[in-house]
Parts: sequence; C-alpha cells; structure tokens
Amino acid sequence: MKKLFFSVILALVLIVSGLTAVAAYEGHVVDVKAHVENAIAVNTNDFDFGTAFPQQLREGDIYVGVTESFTAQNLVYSTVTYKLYWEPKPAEGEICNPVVIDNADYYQNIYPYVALKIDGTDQAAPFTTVFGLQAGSGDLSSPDDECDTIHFKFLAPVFEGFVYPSTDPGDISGVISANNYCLEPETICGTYAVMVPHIDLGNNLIIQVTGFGLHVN
Amino acid sequence: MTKGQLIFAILALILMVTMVPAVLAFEGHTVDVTAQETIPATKVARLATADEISYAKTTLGVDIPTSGNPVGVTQWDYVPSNTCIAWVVTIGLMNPLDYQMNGVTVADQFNEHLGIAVLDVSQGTVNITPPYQLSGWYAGNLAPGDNACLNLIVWTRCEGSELDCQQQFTTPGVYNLNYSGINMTWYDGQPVPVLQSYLYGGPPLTITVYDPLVAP
Repeated sequence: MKKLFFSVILALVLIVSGLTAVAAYEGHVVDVKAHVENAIAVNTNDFDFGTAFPQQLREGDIYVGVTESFTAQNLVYSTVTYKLYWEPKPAEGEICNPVVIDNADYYQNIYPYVALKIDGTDQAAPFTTVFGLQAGSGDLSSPDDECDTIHFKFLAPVFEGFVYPSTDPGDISGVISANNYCLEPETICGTYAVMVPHIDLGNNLIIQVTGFGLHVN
Repeated sequence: MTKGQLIFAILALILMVTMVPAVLAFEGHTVDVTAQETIPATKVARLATADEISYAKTTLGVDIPTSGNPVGVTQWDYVPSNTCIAWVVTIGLMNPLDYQMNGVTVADQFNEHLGIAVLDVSQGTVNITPPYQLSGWYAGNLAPGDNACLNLIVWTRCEGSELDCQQQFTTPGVYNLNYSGINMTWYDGQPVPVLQSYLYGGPPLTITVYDPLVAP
C-alpha cells in the first residue's frame, strides 16, 4: 500500500513538472510599449484671488497651451478640444464657513461670482451636463493657435443683510436679500454667501481634453 | 438579418461602449481657484449707559437732551418714538491684507435726525461735521492683522426751536441709524503708494421705532 502511495505521488509530480516543461518549450517576447504624453499643459495649478472685500473686482489669467510633445508628433493630430468644468473643492485644513457634504468640509462655491473668457470670448454661465458643471470650452491647434488665455473675473459677493451704500436711511428697500444680487450686467449674478463677515470661497476648475482633430494636408 | 450581421452589430456596440469613456478621459488638469473674502471694517450699536451719557455731557460738552435711556428700553434696535435715545456705535477696523495699510481714513454719514460725537478712539484723530456726519477718522497706519476702534455716542435729536422742538423719531417705523455705510481709504505699501478705497455698505444699523402709547 505504501509503495502504491509513493508511486501515485511520483506520478503526480511527473505530470505537474511535465506540464510546466511543455508550457516552456519555446517563448517569444513581444515588447508592447507606448509613450504617453500630455497634449496640453496649464501654466499653474493654483489660482488664488487673495483677500477680497465685498463688491471688489479681481481679475487674472491662466494659460493653456499644447505641449512640445504634441507639436512634435509629426502632426498626426493638429487640434485639441477641451472643456472646463467646475467641481467642489475639498477643504485643505481649516477654512472659514465650510459646506459640509457627507461629513467632509468643502469650500463655499466661488464659481457663481466668476465670469470666464477664453481668448476674449465670453463663456456662458455654467450649466449642468452629464459630465459635470460645464464652465466653457475651447480648442487649440498647431501651429496656428497653440495657446489660449483663460481670463477670470471675480466679483466678491456682498453679504446677505448688508445694505447698498447709496441706501437712504429712511428706505431700507436696498437691504440685500437672497437672489437680488446683480451688480453688473454680465454673467456675474447669483445668490449670496452666508451672512458672515468672513468666508473662504473655492472650486476646482477641471480642464478636460475631450478630443483630437486629425491633421489634414 | 444573417448571423454574421448580428455578430458585427454586437461587436460594433461593444466597441462604441468601450470607446466613449476612453474619449472622455483623454486628459484632465485641475486648477484650484480660491479667494478669501472678508471685510476691513465693522459697525455695531448698543444702548449707551447712563455713565457714558453723563461723560459725554459733562466732560465732552455734548448737548444730549437726556440723562439716560428710559428704563423700559432694553433693546438698541427697538425704541419708542418721541423719546431721546442714546447709543454707542463702534466702528472697528482691521487689516486683513498682507501689507501695511497707510493713511487709513474712514468717513460715514448717519441719519439726519441724529447727533453724533466721539466718545473715544484707539488711534488717530476724528473730524465730525455736526450734527450727524463723520467726515473723517484719520486712523493712521495699520500693520497686517492690526485693529483700531472708534466709539461714537449717537442720539436722537430734538429738532425745531429751543422752546418747541420735536424729539426724533416722531413717527413709528423702521429706520437706519447710518446713512451710507463706511467709506474707507488707505494707501498700499508699495514703494510708490497707491490709493486704495473701499465702500462698505453694511450691515445696516436698523431700528424699529414704536409708539409708546400702543406698544410696550
């Protein structure tokens, strides 16, 4: 019985090792590689308007351009289209008057008070799409339009309950209430921040490449 | 439809489903867009104490037609008509910027039925154009994070002739103690100073004036 047992074990070992040997009779290696490069580059990943007072206007630019890798790819593709999306910005450390979503702190939205222009073209007010809150769109092409300027115009919101400076003392109709804040005939109209003397505002602006155009000779 | 066409259609469908997410996820860049909003000035009111009224009358020589607020008046923003009421309005300044504010000046205008006078000031000099205009608080310089404070005594005036004046406010209603909000100017800390200004609209110091013969 013992002899039979050892025979079975031996047979099993032979089969297993044999299989391995068969599987390794011959091998060919094919290197599958790809060199992944970004098509566009953004000159910054941080844009801070700094300390602003209610009704103060702050402006600034960031730049989006095609990368050297893109221009050096023998122009298989010559255009890049991109879209801008606003996303909630998680708080980093302690911030003033955060919005709490699922037990996490987020900045109060800044986008209702920001108007965007891409290369001088006004972008429509943000609108909801299945991919997020779209804030604008643009395209770049090589070699004619390799850089876009995204211009930010931030009008610091007034605080609810405050009074317009020109309000007559006997007339409190100018007291600012929700949803009547629109100081400029532009896209910057919106509701208020909360009635507090200090607030941190923020959002992530996502610049998403959405397509490439083929080079046409 | 033949079997071949069916397989082709299914393959095309699978290809579409897998390609759509791929196309939408080419590449993304994130830019953090932030701002810190604050106000460089605050204005709050409270009822003046009898000691403060006495100090204003005797030491500062201010002609306030009362020696103290009525006993039943306990809320600064809910006061009887035809009664002299005195408040202390505190204007607070702070520098939230990262540079020194130089030559800070504050102007403000109160309701025309009020009188104002300086009770005390933490720094600088104050000009008042009687009876109700703070024409200039020259607060000097404010380093980043520094504060300054001005306390004004504010009262309802008796308007008309000395013998037959009408104690304001004569009509019940809702009024603002301040007229136009704070107008604050300063110079920045650049090598060549640039005038900065800020018109501060609120919050309003709103009071409700009731008829003492009707309301408590």
